[in-house]
Amino acid sequence: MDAFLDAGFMRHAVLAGLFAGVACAVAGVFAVLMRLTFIGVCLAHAAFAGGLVGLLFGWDPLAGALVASLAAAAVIGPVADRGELSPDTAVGVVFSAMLGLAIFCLGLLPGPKTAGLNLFWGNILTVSRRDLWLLGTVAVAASLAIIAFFKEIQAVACHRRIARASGLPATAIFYGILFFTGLTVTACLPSVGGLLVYSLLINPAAAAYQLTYRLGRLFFLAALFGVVSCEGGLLIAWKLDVPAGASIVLVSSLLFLAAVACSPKKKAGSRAEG
Amino acid sequence: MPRLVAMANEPALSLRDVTVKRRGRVALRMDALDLDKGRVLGVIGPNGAGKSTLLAAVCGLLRLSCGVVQLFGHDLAGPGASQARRDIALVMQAQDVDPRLPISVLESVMSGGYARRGWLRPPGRELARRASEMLELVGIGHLAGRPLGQLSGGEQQRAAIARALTQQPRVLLLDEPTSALDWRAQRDILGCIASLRERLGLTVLLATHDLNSLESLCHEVLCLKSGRPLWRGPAREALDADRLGGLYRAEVAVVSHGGRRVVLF
Repeated sequence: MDAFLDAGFMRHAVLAGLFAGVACAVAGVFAVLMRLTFIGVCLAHAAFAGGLVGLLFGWDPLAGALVASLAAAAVIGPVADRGELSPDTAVGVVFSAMLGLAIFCLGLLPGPKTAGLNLFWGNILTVSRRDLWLLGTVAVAASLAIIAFFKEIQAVACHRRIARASGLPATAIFYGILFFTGLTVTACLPSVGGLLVYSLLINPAAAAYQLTYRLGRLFFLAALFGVVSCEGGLLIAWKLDVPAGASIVLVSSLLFLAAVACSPKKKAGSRAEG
Repeated sequence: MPRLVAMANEPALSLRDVTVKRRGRVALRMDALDLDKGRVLGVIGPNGAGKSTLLAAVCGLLRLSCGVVQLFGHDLAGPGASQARRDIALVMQAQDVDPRLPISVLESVMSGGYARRGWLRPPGRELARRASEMLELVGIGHLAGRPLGQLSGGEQQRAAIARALTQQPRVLLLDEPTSALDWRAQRDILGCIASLRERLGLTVLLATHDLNSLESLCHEVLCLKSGRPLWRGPAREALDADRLGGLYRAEVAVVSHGGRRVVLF
């Protein structure tokens, strides 16, 4: 373990895993609770496309990623909200447009595409100090927001329309959640990557969802699973000399399978289907 | 949190020249509608008549294309509207709730009081006590600790009524509260509403397809068709076979049974 943490880049990676695990898990809980899981993959691809646009024009790729993911959230939110299109259709259209834009920009990038592909795959082992600060800020802000606004978040995440009718600013909270998801995806882009961030958003939250009926515990378990996925994946990558990002995703998938196997909610689920 | 002060002789709820459009189509046009304090107005009409639109417009879920909705004389689109809206609670139609949803019955009922409680303030014991009282009032106090999604449809509707009451409303909107429930649950919920109305003196707007409960539950009935009012009058006069037949475009008979008038389709 000492050798594992001896290298400076590994200490950065461990911290990045901690912050990304917490931030993604929190955003994932919202996505799972509000049945918006595909929004995660859509925002991730929007961030990826925005990052590539940034690279293409010589801007900061993270700024491009942030603008694109927030713009995607700003399109999906109202369209899904007003019922003009089904949320699935809105997300699907934005997702395919963003994927097309990303591949288009990738094709236009001159020379080797390493910088662009890094945004897609991420590299937690080369995460910079600035990326760490960004991830840490997002993770801490998310944790504080949940503590401060727990009751409002619970009301909106569990029954949004009723919360709105009772006088809570449910629409503003919903957009706040989308904004935070976009921010999380952007912050995770350099370390986890646009492709793998989706797994880190959904798997820990979905695993925790199998295990508890308490929202507070759901956030805690999801964050725990997110951190275990990241640090476990890093350890496996270190020991077996395999890609870190893929190891993280595989660990989070295994955690999900284990949670489903142990879930006390299986009976409740089958009752609902029956 | 200060509550609205009723102006003398003001109706509890008042709509003037209200139009609501949905996807460019007029879904509701109401020139004038007043509802006095403590009265129960039943709203009936076929699907698409505008019943749910009326309730959604009153509680602010739908924006008015034009017109004014007033609560005790205060404009619900004017300054302080968000506070005024807290005096109106909505009970929606029974909906499928994910049985795995991480919220207990008590937490769900408490959420009715969150807007009045304000930001950055934990729910507190007082709100928990009030929510528990409301659960007892609707007869499911023993289910407080259960996950909301594991309740039956009838129990979930009782929880929805308790949540609305925890909001401490002065006007209660009930949007087809017995739809999708079995016969026994329908009777139980309607009995529960009648009892609560008497005990709490609430002003109630009830959208329903249950014509046979109108006489026992409502003071007056409003018939809506294609988003417009067709007839309004005392509940005892509402069960008219010709009027209901025209409203629903169906053969309707009204018969007496055990001293009650019953609608047969």
